[in-house]
Amino acid sequence: MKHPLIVLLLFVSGLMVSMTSRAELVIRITDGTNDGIPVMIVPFQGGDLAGVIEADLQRTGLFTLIDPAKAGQALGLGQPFQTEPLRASGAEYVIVGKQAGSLEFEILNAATGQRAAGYRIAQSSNTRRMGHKAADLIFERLTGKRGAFDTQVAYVSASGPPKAQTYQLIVADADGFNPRTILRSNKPVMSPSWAPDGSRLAYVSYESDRSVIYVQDLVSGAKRVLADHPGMNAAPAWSPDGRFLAMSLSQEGNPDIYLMDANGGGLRQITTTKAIDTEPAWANNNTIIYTSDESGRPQLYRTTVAGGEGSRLTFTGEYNAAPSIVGNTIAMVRDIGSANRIALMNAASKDSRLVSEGSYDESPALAPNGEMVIYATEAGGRGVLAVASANGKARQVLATQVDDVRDPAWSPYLD
Amino acid sequence: MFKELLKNPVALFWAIIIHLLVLILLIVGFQLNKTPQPPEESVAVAVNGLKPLAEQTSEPIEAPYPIDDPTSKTKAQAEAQAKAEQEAERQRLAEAKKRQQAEQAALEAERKQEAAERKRQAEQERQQALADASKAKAEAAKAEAERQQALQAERERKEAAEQALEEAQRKADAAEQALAEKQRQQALAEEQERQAAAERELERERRKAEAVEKQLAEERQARLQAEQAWEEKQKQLQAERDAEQQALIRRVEAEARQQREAEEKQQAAEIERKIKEAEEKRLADEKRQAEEKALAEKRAAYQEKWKAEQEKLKQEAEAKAKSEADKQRAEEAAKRKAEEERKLAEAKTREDQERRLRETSERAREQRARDQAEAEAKTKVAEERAKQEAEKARQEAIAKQNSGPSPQAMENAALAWGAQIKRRVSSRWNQPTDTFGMRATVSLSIKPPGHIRDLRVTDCNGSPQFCESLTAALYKSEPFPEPDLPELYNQNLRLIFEP
Repeated sequence: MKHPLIVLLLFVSGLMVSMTSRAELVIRITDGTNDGIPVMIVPFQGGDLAGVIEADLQRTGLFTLIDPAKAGQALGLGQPFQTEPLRASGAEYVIVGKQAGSLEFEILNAATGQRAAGYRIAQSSNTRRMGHKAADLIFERLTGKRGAFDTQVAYVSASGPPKAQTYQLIVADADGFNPRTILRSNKPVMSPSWAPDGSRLAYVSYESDRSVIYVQDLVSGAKRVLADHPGMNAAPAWSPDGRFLAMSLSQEGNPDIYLMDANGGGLRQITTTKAIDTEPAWANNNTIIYTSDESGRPQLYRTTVAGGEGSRLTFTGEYNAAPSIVGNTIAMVRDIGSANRIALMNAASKDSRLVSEGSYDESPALAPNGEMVIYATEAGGRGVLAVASANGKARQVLATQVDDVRDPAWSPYLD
Repeated sequence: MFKELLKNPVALFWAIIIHLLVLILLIVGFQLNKTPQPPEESVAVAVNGLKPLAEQTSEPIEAPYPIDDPTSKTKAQAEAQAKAEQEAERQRLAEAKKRQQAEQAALEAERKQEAAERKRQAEQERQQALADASKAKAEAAKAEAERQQALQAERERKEAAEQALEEAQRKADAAEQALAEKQRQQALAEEQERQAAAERELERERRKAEAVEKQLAEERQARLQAEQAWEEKQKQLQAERDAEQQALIRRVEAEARQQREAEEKQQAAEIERKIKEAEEKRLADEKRQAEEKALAEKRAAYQEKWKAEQEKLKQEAEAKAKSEADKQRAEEAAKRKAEEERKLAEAKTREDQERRLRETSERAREQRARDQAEAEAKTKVAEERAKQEAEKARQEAIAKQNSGPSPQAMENAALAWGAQIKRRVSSRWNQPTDTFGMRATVSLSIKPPGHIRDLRVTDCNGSPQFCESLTAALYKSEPFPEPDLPELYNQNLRLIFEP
């Protein structure tokens, strides 16, 4: 009776030892790289929109473009493909497409060899816009975030001799192409601000030899005076719901933040400091971030539409101004001593990083998805516009400008 | 407004100038209104017979001597000339006195004549005046009417002048307002300039502060660089130490691996040898079994032959016995006894033969059974031995697997391999943004020489992009690093992605 028990005990012990020795190896991975998603965009059959899509994706800094020559095979829409050469090329996703009036394209998963998605974009007279729409869809499929390539930017252009300059308010595609002049004046124009529905622009003009805030309809071109108070009328900013505009007025002596109904009535004062309060920006329908030198140097402060004492928001750097806000991201101009750069700060963690590399970068405006920021800088002795990715990895000067340009404003989503 | 004017001297100056201009304009306007109007006394009235007094007194008087210019001569000449002239003057005075006396006389006479004449003329004039009185009266009425018209025209002119004055005043007010507006704009511009100057001043101060800050930043940068250099050096030293340690570890591992490989080779050779021996033994057993089978068959054939011969012998014996019995039946009587004896003998012989046959058969059967049992036993033994050897080999394999490398070595090797896999996958995982809170578990096994044998995403609670990125990262990690112990191949690995 004793022997079977001993044998059983030995058997169980051996089994346990065996199980222990064959225990599953657990590997815990908490970090990856942010080198960018490797994407191969194969030139489309019947069109050159692949180049537009490549430029769009590259501006975000979230992608690494793989040369289609590394595919090791001919790739096309609907054609079979071999997975191993695509994996060997380093690409995780491959874009193939065909442009024949409309644009059809597919996203192939090089790792699994499966077709990840397929899209069709209807024909449009603005061919480049078809490319921007395709880039938006690709961006959303590969990152999970909405793309902002099919949007527009407004900016001010100045041309002519210094004392007889002509100022133009221009609206163009987000990559700088297809510029349209919506206002021409021989007096300074500045601070354009998009209405949340993208149909109107508020801006400051000195056409009556003093600063006046106008609102102009982009379709009809009709404009009206919104604010013409004694002193300075500056820096209009639409609330996200489009009901109000925040602005900086100096009718009481020094500039303060005021709120006004979008129809021009209901003016009320938000800040009452003795400092210069200007450049308001909306974090949401209730919270306003603005620039104030209340502490001696310009810094960002926050307040609410109910007014009250502002609380200081920035403590890194001696100079932080001109906020632009999308979600938790605040873009601003930061003086780093030797230069003015564009900084992006997380409003929750207060972590910030510089994303531009110019010597005098200013007027940042975030894309509606917060993945890019457009700003004014200097190149070749004149003002130009540049776009930097939110992760700071990509920077691109919009190359379609000839005049001195400044004061960019990125539109909201347009559909 | 006066305060603003006092604040602005330029505006004050222009205000004064404009007021002066307005005053001058008023004065000039007044004079222009007055001067063209002839006084009533100056209205020309024609009087017959009267010679205007002005005509009597305005006749030129011829000078009695030429008048020299005293500045054109010298003083001496002037004195001599003065003496001569005094003398001449005295003579002329004397002559003039004489002539004056003569003239006075003539003048007295003439005065008397003129008085008479004036008396006559006065009478005529009185008569004429009386005649002209009525005429003058009419003329006066006419003049009064003209004066009234002139007064009316004057009033109109005054009114026009007042209107002009008001217009001028209005224009002056407009000019004053324009001036005030201009001054206000100038004040605004100056205010803007002051603000700009203040801003420039602030900018200068800012630049100055920036310079200080820049210097501090440079110092900080220098300090930071020094610290970084120190850290870099420390890192380098640490890296060197790590490298040395890694090299040592690698050397030890290589030696251990070589030793293990040698042992494995020896074990493999031993196993091969044992397998070969078992095979040879198996072949020998088969040969032996075949031989035994052939021998058994041979024995069986021999037994059959022997049995047939015995049967034949028996038949022959029986036939012989029958013939002998028939022969003896004839001789039965005589030889009954012998016959019975012979029968007995034959029976005994037969019995003996049968017994021998039975015994032979039994022996053969027993021999066959023995041979068969022996063969079966041998086969069983061989099978048992092969089974034991297989079991032994299996046990040895299991033992080798379980206890070849020590558990500690196995664990260390697994941990090292896991770390290598982690590094490789992490470096190839394009981690999507915004993965906070996402988690995925992947079941993975790797086959030699480092390729994926099986991959399954068993659990992923992240976005589709997150889940896809894991698969891509794992495929991009092929070939995976070689483990120190090949026993780790094909084992199930569990990768948890938990950014």
